[in-house]
Amino acid sequence: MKRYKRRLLMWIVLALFFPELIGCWDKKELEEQGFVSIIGLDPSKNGLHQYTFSIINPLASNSPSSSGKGSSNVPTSKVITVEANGLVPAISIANSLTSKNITVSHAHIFLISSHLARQQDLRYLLIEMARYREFREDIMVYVVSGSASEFIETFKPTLEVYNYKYFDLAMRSAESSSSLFPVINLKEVLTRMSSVAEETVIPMTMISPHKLPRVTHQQNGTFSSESNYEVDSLPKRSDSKEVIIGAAVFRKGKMVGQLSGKDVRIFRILQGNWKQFSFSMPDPKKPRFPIMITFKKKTNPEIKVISTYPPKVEIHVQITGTITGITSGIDYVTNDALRNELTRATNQYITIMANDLIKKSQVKFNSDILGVGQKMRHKFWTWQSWQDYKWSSRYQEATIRAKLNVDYQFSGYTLRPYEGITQDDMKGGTKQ
Amino acid sequence: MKSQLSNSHIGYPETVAMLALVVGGKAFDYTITMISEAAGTAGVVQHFISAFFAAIGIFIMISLLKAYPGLHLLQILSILFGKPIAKIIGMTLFVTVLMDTVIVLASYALLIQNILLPTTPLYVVTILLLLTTFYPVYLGIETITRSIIVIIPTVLTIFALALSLSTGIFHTDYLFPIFGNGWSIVPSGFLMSGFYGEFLFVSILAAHYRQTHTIQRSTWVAFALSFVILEVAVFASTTSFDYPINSEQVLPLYQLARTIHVSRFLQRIDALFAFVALIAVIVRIGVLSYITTLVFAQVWKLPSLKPIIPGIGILIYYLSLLPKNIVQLIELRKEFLIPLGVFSLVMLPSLSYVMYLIRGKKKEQEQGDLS
Repeated sequence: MKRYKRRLLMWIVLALFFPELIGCWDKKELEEQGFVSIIGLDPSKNGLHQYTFSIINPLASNSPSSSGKGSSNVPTSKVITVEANGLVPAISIANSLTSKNITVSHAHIFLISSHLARQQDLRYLLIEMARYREFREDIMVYVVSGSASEFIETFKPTLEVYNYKYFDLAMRSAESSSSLFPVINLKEVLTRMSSVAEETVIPMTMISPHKLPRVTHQQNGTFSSESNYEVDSLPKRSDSKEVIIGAAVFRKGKMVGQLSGKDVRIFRILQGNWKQFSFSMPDPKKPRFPIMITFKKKTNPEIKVISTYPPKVEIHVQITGTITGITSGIDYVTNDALRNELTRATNQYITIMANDLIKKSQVKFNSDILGVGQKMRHKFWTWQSWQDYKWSSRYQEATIRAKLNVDYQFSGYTLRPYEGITQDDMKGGTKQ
Repeated sequence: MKSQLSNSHIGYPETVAMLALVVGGKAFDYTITMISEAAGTAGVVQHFISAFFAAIGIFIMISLLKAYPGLHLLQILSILFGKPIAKIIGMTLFVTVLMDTVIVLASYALLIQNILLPTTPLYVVTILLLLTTFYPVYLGIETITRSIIVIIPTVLTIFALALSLSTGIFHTDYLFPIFGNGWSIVPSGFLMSGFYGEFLFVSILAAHYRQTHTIQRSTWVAFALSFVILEVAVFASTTSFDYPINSEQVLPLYQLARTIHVSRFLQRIDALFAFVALIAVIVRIGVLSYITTLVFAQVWKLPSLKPIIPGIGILIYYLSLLPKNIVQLIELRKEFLIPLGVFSLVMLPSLSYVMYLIRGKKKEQEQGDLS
């Protein structure tokens, strides 16, 4: 009898667990959900903000096409913009404009308008958004030059069905090869913005009107770098207008300036947050001709705090270089003396670029984007003494010097440049 | 002199698994935030200090148990302080463990309801948690601890996996300034040794041990394991979120699990993390409920636990509905439970041991006088 009672009790307890299996009151059907892929944030009147939601249309995924639309011209996303004081009220208003239950738990991209970023301290706005249970801090953040809602409405990637995928793939490419913009998620942005030891940069994107002019004859001039563009000045010719390059610089939650693609590359080298990228620099012997180089990360940068009063810091970076093109025809590969000269010139060239960036961050932005303060705090015993040091107000007066060293290890599939070309070109070079 | 209550037995693996999960399981909740809030950037250092004081308490407790082999804490207290004082201390312990159970149940019910099941009423989540835990309580400590032995490898594996996957976002710079809030980390470190208060369960369960000589080894192994789990959790939380943010996270490790990205193919492991945390908390509430019931039965010398289990369950349920919000629960734990944990683990065994030494000396004197 006792055995039967125990079994009965066991069955009763098990039966009570059944409501849990269907999720009780929180049951959700997949087809009832409107998954937001991109969230846009713009300023608005009366202290409100404009929230734009790009909601994925799952019906479009059946047959991808290259026109930004799926099978039978089904739009790949629905865009809703509403005015609200915060993300959660915006979601509830947007819910009345669509049949689906809007959820931001799978949002990939968060776009902030540059107008808003320049006007308002974003710290409080973003920290409050991160309170919401659905809002994930691994969402990638971008600053749009102009309006975020207009960007989302106009943005039609040509090689991907869904708009967020464009950002995902561009980010991967930036991480692995281009390094032309930083990759940062909301958690990092929040941590850096609320830190007293560093400031943040956020990649910039826009729908660019700039067109690369059609030129019919080669114009020779002085050397110019191909990555020295900010997001709103990059010329290109493409059937899609979106551009991601450079970064917005923040100080105490407000955007205070922009970095070009070249600056971001140096920024990433100094941060140690990069893998490799290819770029060109003027030939040390014949500055009119470019030398193409691929840089690879060798070690993490070493940030040495020499003194705290006055603040003095040195940054050392080791890089591995590969020569990928010599247009002057000079043999920098097999000739030891010339290779050493190239190494010296490269070190000098990128060290100057690095120190220019540091100077810019101190004088123009007054923003410790490199996170030098994170190393400076090591020199203090207690949080109070570190707070009293007031690093952010000392950053401008700090002496920060960078030294970058390149070690050339490889020269592509070719050793010496072809001799005929070298001789001809050398003559041309001496004439100049 | 075995109690009639001790009809289920535990040993080395059961003790290690039980204490590692009950104490180490605190890594899943806001315990880490409390440490960070008190220590600033020195959470890791402060936790060392806490563990040092807790180790002293555990050492004294084990010495006491060695002096009275086979007896549980309340029996020892009766011998040392007399029955009335032992009863008062026993009821204080009962209230402490009861409040511990209530706070853990209420906190997790609130967290689960707000994070995972936002439209499910709180009372339903609380009932489901309580039912899941009280059936094992009915079956006894042996069943509970054996289940923990099965569960703990999964819990530890997922915990270790989550942390190892997040190493990419750790910034060791956030550990500096190394002494955080300065000298105040020493007194707060002492106070936070109350997080190890559950190690007193060893002395409450002393009569349940198959072999009393396993108590010492199993307790120290469990202590080492829980220390490592909590220390790693504090390290992970401190190095993932810089100090101003770190001290405001309700669930730092869950937040950390939400940001894990490994090469774009392994991400959003927070669901797995929540699942493991849920298992850990169910078992934790199970152990706490059992100890609550056991202490009550030991104080009033009840022959069996089973008749009082439903009553204690209802008491826990209604008490857990009283706190209004998570802040109140955090404050309750900070103001009430942690100091009581210090009293239970450090002060009570120390006082008892001093009493034991005085009595021993008196006895020696009496024997000397007689001879």
